[in-house]
Amino acid sequence: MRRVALTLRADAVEAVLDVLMPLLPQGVYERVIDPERTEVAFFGDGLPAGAALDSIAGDALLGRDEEEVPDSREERRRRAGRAWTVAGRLRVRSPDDPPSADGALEVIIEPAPGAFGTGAHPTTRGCLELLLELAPGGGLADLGCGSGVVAIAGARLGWEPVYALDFDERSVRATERNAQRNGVAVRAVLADLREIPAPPAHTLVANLPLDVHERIAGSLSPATARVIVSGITASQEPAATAAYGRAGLALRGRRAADGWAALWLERT
Amino acid sequence: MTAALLDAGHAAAAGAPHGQLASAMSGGALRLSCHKLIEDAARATVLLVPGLLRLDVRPLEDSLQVFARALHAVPPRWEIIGGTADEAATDEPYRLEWRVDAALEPHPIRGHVAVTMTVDFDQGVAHFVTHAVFREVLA
Repeated sequence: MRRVALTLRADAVEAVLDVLMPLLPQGVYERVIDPERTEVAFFGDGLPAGAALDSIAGDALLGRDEEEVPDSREERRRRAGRAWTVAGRLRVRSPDDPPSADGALEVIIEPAPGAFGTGAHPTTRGCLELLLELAPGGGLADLGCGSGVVAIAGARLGWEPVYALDFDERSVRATERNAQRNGVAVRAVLADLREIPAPPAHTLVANLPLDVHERIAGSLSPATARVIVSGITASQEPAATAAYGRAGLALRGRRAADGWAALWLERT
Repeated sequence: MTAALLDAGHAAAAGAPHGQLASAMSGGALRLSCHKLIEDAARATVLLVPGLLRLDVRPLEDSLQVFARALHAVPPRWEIIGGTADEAATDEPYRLEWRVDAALEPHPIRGHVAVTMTVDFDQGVAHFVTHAVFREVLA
């Protein structure tokens, strides 16, 4: 399958898409290269010729690359990439996105089709923002690890040992791959926290539904001193706070975005 | 002048690459519908009113980005009037509804646009269905 990537002036992307979109009903993949440049890529065997594409892009065109690539959703998703920054200190990016220019701590996550993706959901962002506020130390367990982004960030920040648990085997495998890619030690475990208690780590980061939080809180190890609670809506915050309160933890901080809440609780 | 923007034949022809159906309703309103499978992270068009607006969507993991592109010198105003935002919590497809107002002369155009999305995370693809009606506001 042919892949074409146009590098365009960022301020002219929408005007170029006005002409391109009718030709590409299956869509395009945009990637911001920097504030001045955006890549617009698309795939297919019946794409317009290079000269026609150059003409469409006009003076917005800064470059055009073409190559043959495997015809698969995984390949297209991987190449779409994604990069995002947490609290100005931590950058999460795909292997195909350029490294950070400002020296921010980086976590590299391979995008994959599926619920875990690159972990950019507000619930994961809330976990990472609160994690950055904590002083690293002792063991950390990432409960509901998905892509492993929280566990890997924890390891990069200095927690040790780091565990990652998920009831989805694909998430466990993705976490193992991503930990290896980042060169950090994360032990990923297939486990259903509705059936077993959380591991006795000093710090837990749990991005899970409320009912699982209530189970975790009910069997919390005395060794656990801090919990970051996420995966709950703002309306569920009182119930989650109460559940962990009964386990001896009190609210120390919170984040909220798009109707979701993330809480930092510590043992009193 | 504004009635020409609601020409069903024009909308059908321009929207054909997107599988968009366009038909004329009584009173000169334009009715549109479109459905499309879109892969994760791809931006694709799900509604086109030539000369007036284009609506693109980008399903991205468990979020959705929406791009309302004005194709007229007077950009239409989009106002969200309803929707559900959490497929897992409601068992309903993700749904967004807008009222669209274009302050054109001699007659403004008002539209109602509804987009629903159902995601298959395992396959990395989302299915979109769009329905829209646009009509001139006569006095």
